[in-house]
Amino acid sequence: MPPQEFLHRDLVLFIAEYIRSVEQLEVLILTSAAVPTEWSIEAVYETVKTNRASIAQRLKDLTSSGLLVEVAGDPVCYRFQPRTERQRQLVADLANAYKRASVRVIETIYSPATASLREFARAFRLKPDQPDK
Amino acid sequence: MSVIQVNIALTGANIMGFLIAGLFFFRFWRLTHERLFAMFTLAFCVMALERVALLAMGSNHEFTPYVYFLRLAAYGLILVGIIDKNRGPQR
Amino acid sequence: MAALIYILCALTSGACTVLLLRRYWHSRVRMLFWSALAFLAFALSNVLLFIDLIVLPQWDLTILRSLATSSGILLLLYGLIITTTKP
Repeated sequence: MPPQEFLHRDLVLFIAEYIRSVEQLEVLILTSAAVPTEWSIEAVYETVKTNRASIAQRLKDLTSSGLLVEVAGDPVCYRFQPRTERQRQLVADLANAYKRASVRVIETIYSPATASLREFARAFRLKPDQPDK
Repeated sequence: MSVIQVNIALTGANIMGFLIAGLFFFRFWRLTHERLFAMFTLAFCVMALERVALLAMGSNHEFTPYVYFLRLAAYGLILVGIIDKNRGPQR
Repeated sequence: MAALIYILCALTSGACTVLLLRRYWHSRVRMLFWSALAFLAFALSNVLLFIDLIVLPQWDLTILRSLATSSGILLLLYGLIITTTKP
């Protein structure tokens, strides 16, 4: 499957909307992989190994985006619980895309224009059901 | 400030604005290779050109109405871009 | 003849507005919203051009037209800038 198929349009929009950095991407993929397990900051750090403070911030960001929920306790834990099934599917697609075409995914994260520009160009399709070029 | 001076100032700002918009679309074209963006780039450059021509000629020059053909050309380029977008599978 | 040019320009800007708003309604990408408003302002400036030169030639609407164009440019640039920078 060519890389463009992994990174379909909705996924590019999802990345533009929710993912600001590779660290955040890895935190999201990690916490979504072992549903319904709950993850503490320390547990995430064990795998993602950047630094605890920024991991804590990423977890908070993902929670306020609605992809994770905070589970009270000591220590505070986070669980992957997106608001819609579509989001759950997109995160699964994202994990798959990252595994198969990581460079493309990373490029997409750091080019904020990509999603918006595709939509701008798409706006000028007179028949909305035409396939994307 | 007289009306003419205000208008010249505004027109100058608009010329700069159109050129900057053109630069953005030029960059978008390089990024995405989407021909539509190339058309928008040209369109905004022509809009800038039109305003320059209007300034150079003033509103009472006999050729002034012809300058608006440039504006028509700019919008024509956008239309060409839209038509091209809807025609084939090429980029 | 001149009238036709002005109307055509206004209609093309209007068409861009409609297409961009339609896409915005589906995808909620903010850049489309601001671009749509920008083209609306450009359409307005073309309509004002028509009014200025054909309907009400005794009045001078030049500054108003230029202001409409400036508004459009500001709206467009805002949309383009927020597209290319992440918060």
